[in-house]
Amino acid sequence: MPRFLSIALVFALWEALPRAGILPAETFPPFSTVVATTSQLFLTGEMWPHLFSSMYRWAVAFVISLAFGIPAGIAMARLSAVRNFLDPILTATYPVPKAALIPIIMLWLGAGDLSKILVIILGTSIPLVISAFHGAQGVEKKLVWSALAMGTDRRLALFKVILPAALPDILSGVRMALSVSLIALLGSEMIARQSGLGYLLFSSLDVKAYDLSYATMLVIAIMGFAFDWGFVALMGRSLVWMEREEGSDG
Amino acid sequence: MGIKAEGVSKLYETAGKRRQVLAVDGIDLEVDEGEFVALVGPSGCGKSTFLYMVGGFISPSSGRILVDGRAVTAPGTDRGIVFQEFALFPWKTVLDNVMYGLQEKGLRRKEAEATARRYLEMTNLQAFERVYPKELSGGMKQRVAIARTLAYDPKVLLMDEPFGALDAQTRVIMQDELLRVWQGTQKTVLFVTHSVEEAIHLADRVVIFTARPGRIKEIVPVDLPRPRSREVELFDRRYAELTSRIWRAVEEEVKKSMELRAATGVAP
Ligand SMILES: Nc1ncnc2c1ncn2[C@@H]1O[C@H](COP(=O)(O)OP(=O)(O)OP(=O)(O)O)[C@@H](O)[C@H]1O
Ligand SMILES: [Mg+2]
Repeated sequence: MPRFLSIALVFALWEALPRAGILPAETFPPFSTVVATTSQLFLTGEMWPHLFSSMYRWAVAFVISLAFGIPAGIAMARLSAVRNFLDPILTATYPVPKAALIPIIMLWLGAGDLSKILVIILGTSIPLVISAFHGAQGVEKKLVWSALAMGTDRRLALFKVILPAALPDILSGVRMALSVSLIALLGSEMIARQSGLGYLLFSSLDVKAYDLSYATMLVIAIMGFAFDWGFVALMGRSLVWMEREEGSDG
Repeated sequence: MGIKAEGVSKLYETAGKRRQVLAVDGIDLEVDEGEFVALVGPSGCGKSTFLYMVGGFISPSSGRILVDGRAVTAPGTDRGIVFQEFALFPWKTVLDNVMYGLQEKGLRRKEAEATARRYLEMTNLQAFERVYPKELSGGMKQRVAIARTLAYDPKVLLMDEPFGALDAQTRVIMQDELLRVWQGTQKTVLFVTHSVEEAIHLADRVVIFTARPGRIKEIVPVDLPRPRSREVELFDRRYAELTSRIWRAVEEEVKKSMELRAATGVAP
């Protein structure tokens, strides 16, 4: 099946159903209307400040999450003290919707970017920590032994063996973190509303400006798609060695 | 560099000491510098375990191992190992795998490449130097592992069924290459194998392990002149006698280990 057929089908239905009167066009404007609204938002410049403030929060939070989450996960796998400390916290906080923490965090850090960034970090770090933990935990002992036998320093083996061997898991964690971070971003902007895509989305819903809501959702969907595409494109060459063997699936 | 094991035992303890496996028990063995010693014995009798202790990857529960007169406490570049499972670095190409030990030694890339290529040629893998391990067959991976270990020239070779994944013809070629390297460099070799013929063709002495817990059942010296030709081996009386003697001893232990497995329901 051609790769984008499913999406084309969704767009086609999105266009046809409201036009045919099967869905109410007022709360479900046809695709072409939404596209028109979206381009209007960009042309008038209304979208840009929201897009920029969202991207700013996201980028800061994502970089911090990477810098914290991956080392923390690897440390968990290598040091039982770290594991015993972090494991209960992770298990307990995993199911908590991070955006729900916003009102509490706002009490401490105010309603500005800081609270939002912290919430995104909380959400994004977890898949990173967990994937880095599993990746590092699963490294075949004999790979480390081989390196030690060939003269690698025990501490450097962390970078020369554990990290590259855990990379496939870490990168699938990064990929998951990309979408989780978007969700946390929107959630944080929904609850502490000043600017950003989440603000745009939820305030337009409040005033029943549905075409604006759909336009924002379209932008968010495109962002999600672009993140994933960018990730794959960026990683593509460096990942040759870890692609699945041909003929095996699952 | 000689190897000396004094009363070496290994007790594996798993899951909060609830399951204990005595893998090897009271091994006393002395291997001279430059000697080639083969280890044979039933599956699960502790051959790999013994090798790992000589390598310094795990420590004995009791007893000690001396290499070149010094007690082994950690892995070192004096002892190179070829693992049963190959343990190639999947993120490195064949060439980079073989270069790893050389670069750790401090060689520059150009020199390391040249040496690595020599060993890839020896193992007939020169056409695959840019390939990642996942694209290789089991036998090819095994040859990369052998090349990687030989390339950085450790004084002691610990080889855990290094030819186990090779087809019969490649195996014969690799055996002779190994003998050539060994004779040219005076390395001390500990060589685990399931093949009695291989043990006799290669080794100065064959150490037969008992069923688990692995003890030394018998040490059989192979007093056949070198170079040993396979044609002669086929018809040589002494060769035939040695083979059947070692076969019988191993078979006895294999039967014991199967009874042990049946009785305890535990995998070897
Ligand atoms: N890490 C471990 N923890 C617990 N038990 C272990 C461990 N490694 C090996 N054993 C057990 O120790 C025994 C000896 O294992 P070992 O791998 O040394 O045998 P082997 O002689 O190399 O066998 P094979 O010929 O099948 O490779 C086996 O019963 C095995 O189950
Ligand atoms: Mg073994």
